[in-house]
Amino acid sequence: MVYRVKPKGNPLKWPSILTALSCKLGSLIQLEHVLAITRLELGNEIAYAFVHEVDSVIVSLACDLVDHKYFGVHALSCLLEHKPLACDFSHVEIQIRHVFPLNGIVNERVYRHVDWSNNDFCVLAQKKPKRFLKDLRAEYRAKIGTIFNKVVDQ
Amino acid sequence: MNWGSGAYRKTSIKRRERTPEEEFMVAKFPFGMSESEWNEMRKLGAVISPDNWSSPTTVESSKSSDHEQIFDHVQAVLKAATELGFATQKILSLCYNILQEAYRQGKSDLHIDTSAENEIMIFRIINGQYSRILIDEAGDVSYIFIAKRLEDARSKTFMFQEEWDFSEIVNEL
Repeated sequence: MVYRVKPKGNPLKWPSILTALSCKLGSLIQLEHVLAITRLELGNEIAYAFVHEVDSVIVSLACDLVDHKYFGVHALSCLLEHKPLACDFSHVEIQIRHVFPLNGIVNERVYRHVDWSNNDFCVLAQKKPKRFLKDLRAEYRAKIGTIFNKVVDQ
Repeated sequence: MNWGSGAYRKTSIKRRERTPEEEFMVAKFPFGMSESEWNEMRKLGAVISPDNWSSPTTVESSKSSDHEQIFDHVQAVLKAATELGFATQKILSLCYNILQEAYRQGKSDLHIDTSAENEIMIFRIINGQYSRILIDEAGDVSYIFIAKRLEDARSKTFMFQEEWDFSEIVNEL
């Protein structure tokens, strides 16, 4: 299981940006990490998802703008990456894997936190084609929000 | 000495109650809107008279609580837009029309907040599922449904247009 600490009653505030969703991998949580899990500034509620659910998030959408460099089918999926912190060995991030056509050639990119400000690399962060990219982002947010729409009873 | 008549005259002067519309006028000023902006917004079609917002089937006794609820929602929208720095006529008019349509459809159990991506968020919680409308700075509207099951999750985008069909957006909510 993957856990995520969030403000109680508002599962909608996150993720602040779509990529690098900060979580904790259940199988790696140790007793000394419990304090890190309950850091108040992160929130007061624990949402969770199963790893197979994270793996099953696939957003597929076609950009139908003929002659556009992104014309064709785009697919987004999640990539779980272990990113241990000094205070928390269980820390993982959910990155976005984007498979997309670029001038007819299939590309694959993984977006991490630092990539979000690099518009040349991160297609999802770009402004155009506006409608298509908004649709793609919204669909991803709906799916990632849904898999974490379960909270631990306290 | 006739004390009684003077005292009677004093107490008999009743202060005129504010109309609901005047209540809204008073409420909007803390958020920095001038009267001319208000009038302009009304011309744009953002009719904020609570009488127009209530469902025609609403019984009289629940009307005042409806007004209070609408009032809270309008305030929350103004607050959110001000926080995000885009409390423009275009955005406020859009939000009000969405709220108005939601009330018209009987969807008054609304929550208003901001998203982490600088959007005004109007949402409902239905059986642990989150149905939300997000309005961004450009006036584009996204609908996102956070469901219980992955296959039920869905989204829709409405790009800004001058002539909206708000029922189409609010039907999703």
